[in-house]
Amino acid sequence: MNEKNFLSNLLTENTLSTLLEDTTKERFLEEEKRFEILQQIEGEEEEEEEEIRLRTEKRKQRVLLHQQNFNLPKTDQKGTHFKDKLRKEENSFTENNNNTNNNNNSNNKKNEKKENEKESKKLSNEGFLQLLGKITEYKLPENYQTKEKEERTTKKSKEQLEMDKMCVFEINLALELTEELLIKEEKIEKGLQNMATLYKNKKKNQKMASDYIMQASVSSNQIKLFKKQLLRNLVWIKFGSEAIDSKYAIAIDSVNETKDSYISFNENDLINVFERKKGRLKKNDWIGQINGKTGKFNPRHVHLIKSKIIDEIFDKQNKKIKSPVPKIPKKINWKYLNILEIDCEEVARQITIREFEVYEKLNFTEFLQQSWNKKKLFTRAPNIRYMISRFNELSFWCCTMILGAEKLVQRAMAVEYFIQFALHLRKFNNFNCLMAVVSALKSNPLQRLKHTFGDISLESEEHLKDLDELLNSENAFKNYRRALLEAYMEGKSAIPFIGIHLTDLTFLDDTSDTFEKNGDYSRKKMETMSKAIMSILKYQTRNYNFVPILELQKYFKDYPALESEALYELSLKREPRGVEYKNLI
Amino acid sequence: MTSKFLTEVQQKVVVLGDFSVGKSSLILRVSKNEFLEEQESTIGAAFINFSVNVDNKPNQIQIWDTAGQEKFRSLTPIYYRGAIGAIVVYDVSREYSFQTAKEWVEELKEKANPKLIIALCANKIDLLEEKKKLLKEKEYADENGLLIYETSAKTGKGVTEMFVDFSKNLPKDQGREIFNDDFFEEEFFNIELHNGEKKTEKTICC
Repeated sequence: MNEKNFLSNLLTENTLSTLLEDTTKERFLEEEKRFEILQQIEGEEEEEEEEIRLRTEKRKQRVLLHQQNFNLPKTDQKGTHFKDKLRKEENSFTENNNNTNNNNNSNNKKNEKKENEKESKKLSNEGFLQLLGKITEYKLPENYQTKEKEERTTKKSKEQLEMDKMCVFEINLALELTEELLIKEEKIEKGLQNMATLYKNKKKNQKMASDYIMQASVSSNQIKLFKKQLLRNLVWIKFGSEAIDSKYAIAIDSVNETKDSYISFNENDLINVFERKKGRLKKNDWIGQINGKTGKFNPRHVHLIKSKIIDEIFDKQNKKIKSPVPKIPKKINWKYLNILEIDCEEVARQITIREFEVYEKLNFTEFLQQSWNKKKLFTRAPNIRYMISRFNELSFWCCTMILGAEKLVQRAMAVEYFIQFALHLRKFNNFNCLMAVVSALKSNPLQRLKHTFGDISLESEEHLKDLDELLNSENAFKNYRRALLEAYMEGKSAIPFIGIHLTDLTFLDDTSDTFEKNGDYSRKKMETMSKAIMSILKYQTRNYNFVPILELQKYFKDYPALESEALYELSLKREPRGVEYKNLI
Repeated sequence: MTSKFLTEVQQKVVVLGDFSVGKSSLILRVSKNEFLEEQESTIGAAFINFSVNVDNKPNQIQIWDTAGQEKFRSLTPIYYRGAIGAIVVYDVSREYSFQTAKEWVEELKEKANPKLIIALCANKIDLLEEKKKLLKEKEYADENGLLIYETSAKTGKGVTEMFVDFSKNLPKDQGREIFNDDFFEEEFFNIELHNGEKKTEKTICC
């Protein structure tokens, strides 16, 4: 029996190890493929700037077309598409224009330049017609009956069809305009941010710049909403409302109806849609349910959810942000993992991903009434307490990683590794982990190792000084607060260090009374408290775009570390009191 | 008021203790009650600055509070690193808080600056109905060479006296010289402490 058990154990261990190796190999192959694709995408994105330049010229041509096409050729009844014809005409139109221009200027310019121009214009055409192409290529669901289609087409008069075509044309023009407006407003935002960074030392200009940035962002959001509505109208005209597979809708406007048969609702309400009809007349109003009431409502005030077409288009437009390539050596033993072999930038990325998951769960109500400190209210603030415990574990983990090395050279190397690691954390604006690492380097068991800190290179020593200035406690963490604000102004993602904000909240809670003499809630206190809380939570919407690696994520779920007293004893072992430098080597 | 371009000596003092002992309320009592002409009415959200005249010389003291951050155990050594004095607060009504105060004192003696001056502060004395004489604590203070004070932040008894007396015991050589003008430049980082009545005088420059 013993032999059998032994054999079975051996077998399982071997198979497990082989399996692990295989899975890692496969994963790496997949990742390499992904990176190749990513690099290809990078190459494509550089070409987009040329498209933007040529877009204005193209728009002028389209306006000319618009003037010509009031006498558009009528479409055949078989359903050859209006847009295909339009495309052909456009291409022929542009080519003709190019030819005429070329003929006029052929004596002056060389042939190579003209060819380049042609190619670039063709490319721009292709890029521009992506939107239209996706809408035309959209396949209807199988349940969509063909008979109804024919009936509808017959029901529509020719005037209506022409009107639809003109609507499509105009909407496309409007879409182009919105894209240009968006680009302009992004430029305005960038300029204002630069202004803010220039004048950051003076109070008034900073406030003004921040106000302008807020206005610019609001207007850009409005343009995006307008764009969505335009796309919705396009889909509406092409396929009717039934092409969109959805049951729920969000209200864009607030509507108060006096009739009993109609529903009244506010902004951002969810409506359960029962029946959808085609057309914009009052007869064809939709039927839906909200708060237990059923009735009609006008679909203009509503935006459908889960519409496949719109989501696909928007996802592909918004995927401009690249995710960086992970740095991992190809030969690594995942079973017995030594973190110091992996590049410190990659470790910093993985920790920020893990930390952001914790930070994302923080809720508004946890910060009220100092509930993270009181034993009665521990259940109210579980996420804050979990974040604090992780903070302590990280700093103790850093200490153990440094003190784990027996030789002096290895310890110095580990200290340099963690300083670089902290610099990367600063780059990602992950202030919570940065504070933990710097406090670990400044803690008692590490601070008394004078020989190891003497062996560090001068550069890393200066880096440590800079980090110490940033997180210095003078003037109520002025430098840290300024760095956090800068990250917000530049639109970067960040994780704030909670502890400082928690002290602000305790003082605010203690200084002013919650009730006034009348018995009302004091409005001043509520405003200041909400400001202080929002300064913590306003970075929750900005995700990091790093690629998570499963093995490292598992490793950082719980930091393996010793406790503070054991760490102090260990440091006494490594460098006893009054030891000379010769004896350590 | 202090004149603008007078150099002062700034000294750092830390207030430590278990949570909900009354550290922040002690400091608030000091900052709200007018006890000296030189008292400043602003708190930089985490600490208070006030100046005391010792032998006709202005002596500025920076009192640090770890309010809300007691659970960040790995962070506390940063607070008491550059400090000259430390006040360890404990609650009279809870015995457990005195044990944590003992741990604090031991840690400060082992790991902090050896010239550090430590004071024990017995807070919430108004909760003691029978006036017990704090014999155990006084013995402990005499053994370890600590100053001892009895205060109650609720009634304000002995709070201001403690801070003034403690500042006189600090060594005058240590600390760093500063210009008083450069403090509190920006409004954003400061929170003004007033009881509802706020002065809305606008100053115009240029």
